[in-house]
Amino acid sequence: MPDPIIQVENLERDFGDVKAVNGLSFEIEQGRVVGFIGANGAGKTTTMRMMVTLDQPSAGTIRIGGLDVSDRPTEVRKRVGWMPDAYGAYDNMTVLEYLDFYGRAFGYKKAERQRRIGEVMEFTDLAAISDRPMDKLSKGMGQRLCLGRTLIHDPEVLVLDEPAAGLDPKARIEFKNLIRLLAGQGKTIFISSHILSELGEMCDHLIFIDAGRIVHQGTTESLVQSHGVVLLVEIRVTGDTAALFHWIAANPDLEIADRMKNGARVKVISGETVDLAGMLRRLILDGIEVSGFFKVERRIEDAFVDMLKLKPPPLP
Amino acid sequence: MNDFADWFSPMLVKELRQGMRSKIFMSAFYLTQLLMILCVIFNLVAASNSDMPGELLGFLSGLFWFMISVPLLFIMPIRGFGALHGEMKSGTLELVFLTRLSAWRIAAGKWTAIMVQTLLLVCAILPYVLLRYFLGGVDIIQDVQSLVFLLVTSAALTGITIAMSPYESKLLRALFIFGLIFGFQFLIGVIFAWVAGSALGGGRSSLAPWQFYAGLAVFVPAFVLLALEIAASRIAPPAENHAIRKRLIGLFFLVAAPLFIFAGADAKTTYPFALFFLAVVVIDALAEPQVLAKSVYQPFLCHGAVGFTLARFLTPGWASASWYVALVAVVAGILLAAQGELNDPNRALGYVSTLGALIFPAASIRLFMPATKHFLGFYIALQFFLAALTMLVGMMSGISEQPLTIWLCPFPNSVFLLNLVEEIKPGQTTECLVVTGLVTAASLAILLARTITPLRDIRAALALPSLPDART
Repeated sequence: MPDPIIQVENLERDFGDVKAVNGLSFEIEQGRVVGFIGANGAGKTTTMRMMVTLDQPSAGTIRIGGLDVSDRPTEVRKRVGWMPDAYGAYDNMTVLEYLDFYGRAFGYKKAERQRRIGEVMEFTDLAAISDRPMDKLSKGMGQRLCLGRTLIHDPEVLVLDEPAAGLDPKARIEFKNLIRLLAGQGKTIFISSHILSELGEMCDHLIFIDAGRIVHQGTTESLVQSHGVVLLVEIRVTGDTAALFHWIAANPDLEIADRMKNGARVKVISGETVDLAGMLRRLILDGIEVSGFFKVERRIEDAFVDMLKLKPPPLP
Repeated sequence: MNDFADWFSPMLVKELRQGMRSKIFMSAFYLTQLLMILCVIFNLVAASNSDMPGELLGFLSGLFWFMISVPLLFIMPIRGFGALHGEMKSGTLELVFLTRLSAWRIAAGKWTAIMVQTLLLVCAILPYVLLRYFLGGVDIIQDVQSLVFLLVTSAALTGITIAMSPYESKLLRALFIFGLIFGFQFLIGVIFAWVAGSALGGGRSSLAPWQFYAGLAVFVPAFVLLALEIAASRIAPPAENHAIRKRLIGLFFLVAAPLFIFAGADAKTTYPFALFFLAVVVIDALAEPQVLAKSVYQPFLCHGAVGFTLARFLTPGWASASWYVALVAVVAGILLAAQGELNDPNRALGYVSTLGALIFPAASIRLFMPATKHFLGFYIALQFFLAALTMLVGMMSGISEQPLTIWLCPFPNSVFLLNLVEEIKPGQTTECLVVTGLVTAASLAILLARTITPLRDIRAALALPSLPDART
């Protein structure tokens, strides 16, 4: 097994009486893409900020490439690229000047700097807009520029906090492709996002946290199969959904996982053999106007909801 | 091969690129040119009219320097307010910290960029200064000296605004801007006094020209360095130690003052100047939050007992700042006593009450709210409250013709103010000195006692049984 490039051990971070991170421990091997998932306030950003030396742990250690981030922050910064959820645009500055500034700030001299900027612009497809002022960029372009800035010093580890937040679907797909390319280059990527399905597609490994603690970690498959849920069924109806919801509520073996406009995703939570045909028959006999009845795969979102024990809102 | 800009700090290059295109710089540049053209037209009219009264010529000269002062002492320095605050708000500062740029280089780059732009304005003004000379009635040497004086003042003011820039409290920022506007009016008065020849030419000043220039050359760069270090320390990640330089600059002020006096400068002028600068260091140090970063302590811990002792005074945080203040008080006491400054009870009261005025509010805050995150806000509020109380009691004393101000003796801040306006009667000086001395000593003792817990926590976090704590 290769040595882990990121080692987090008993990490804690207190803000007064509030424990934002509470005894977090995990390891990430080089070249892995790891998703970091949690609700707002779960401690994701705090953990990531400590990993990139922007904050100090109250207790515990973080090692990047064997270097303790508290003891050797300067060396760690050379090996880590940090992309926060919101990049701040500078006034009166073009895309090229922005990358040039960071190239200079990382100590690259003229020729080397131009080569790095060229590579980054080509990778992030920014060359065509190099002379555009930063404040005239779309959100997608801005995120690509922010990723370009993160890559300018060619770090081994990328820590990306909600990089796809606020992007339109096209920009999200482009961004996802860039992450895949970076993973192909052997970069270790630690990424948080609220778009869990995308994380599932991108990541080799997922870490779920809640209230500063890890509640689950493993592959996407292990996560989806966890928590003992036997089956998920999607039921669509033509008429009023309230009747369907009441029908489900009246069945102790069933639980609503997700309410939809024209139906519901339903967890079948008991029984080793599930009689789906019988269930459909009972639905029709009870007067529910069923227009669709499918067995569906459990999604990461479902696992997330189960782990955090979230309930759909009560019926009106 | 490097390009020309590679010789400069990346922050300077970036700031110049942005700053030269900014509306505020362009406006200041055009405004200055317009005002200079107007001034030259007035001077041309004045030169063509031989009957022009001398007062009007003086007014035109004053107008010329006022118009130069506005961009140099107000518009350009005030840009410093947004220098770091804007980057903090937009979240760009943290990204810069992850590069090779330290907080110090960021603050210095911001200051240098504003100064380069100010220099550009000065260069654009120079032809008009020369033109005034050719129109007659102007001492070109004094004009150039005035311009240099303005530039130096602008440098110091820009340093102040950049030091204030990281503060996010709207109330504090409003207070700072109010102070700057108030200070600008004061500076304009100084400029007019300068133009009238009182500073160098008239002999009314207590400073000889060489002393004045030596003072500028020594104190202004040190003050700018201090201001930039204050700015850097406010934005720096906890792993950077800016306390060393700030506190050494404070000690430098303390040591430079007696050297100036030894060289012939007047103690009555030099010490208050040095103490003012030192007060800035002390207040800033006492307001530092107590954050433990192992990397800050490691360089000290490598040097055994000497390192431990130095860490007590030179690591960031109010706990070590309290010990630093105690050290400064002892060193200042020795220096002042050695120069006979403490022999006169009035002067001694002035020095003791200055120290007391600085640490009494700090001790009060640490006594009742040791872990407050709003130290500076409370500190300023207490200073204002005590000043207001002193004024109120002073007024009541005047109205009732009773010596009510004597009841303010337990407050060093009040004694400091009353001594400043010579409101302490000769018979009361010794009593006031004893009471103020006791309160000041008690304040210092409280400050030091309050460091026991944070220093013990640091020792525990670093697992250092041999690190001396406040009780040893």
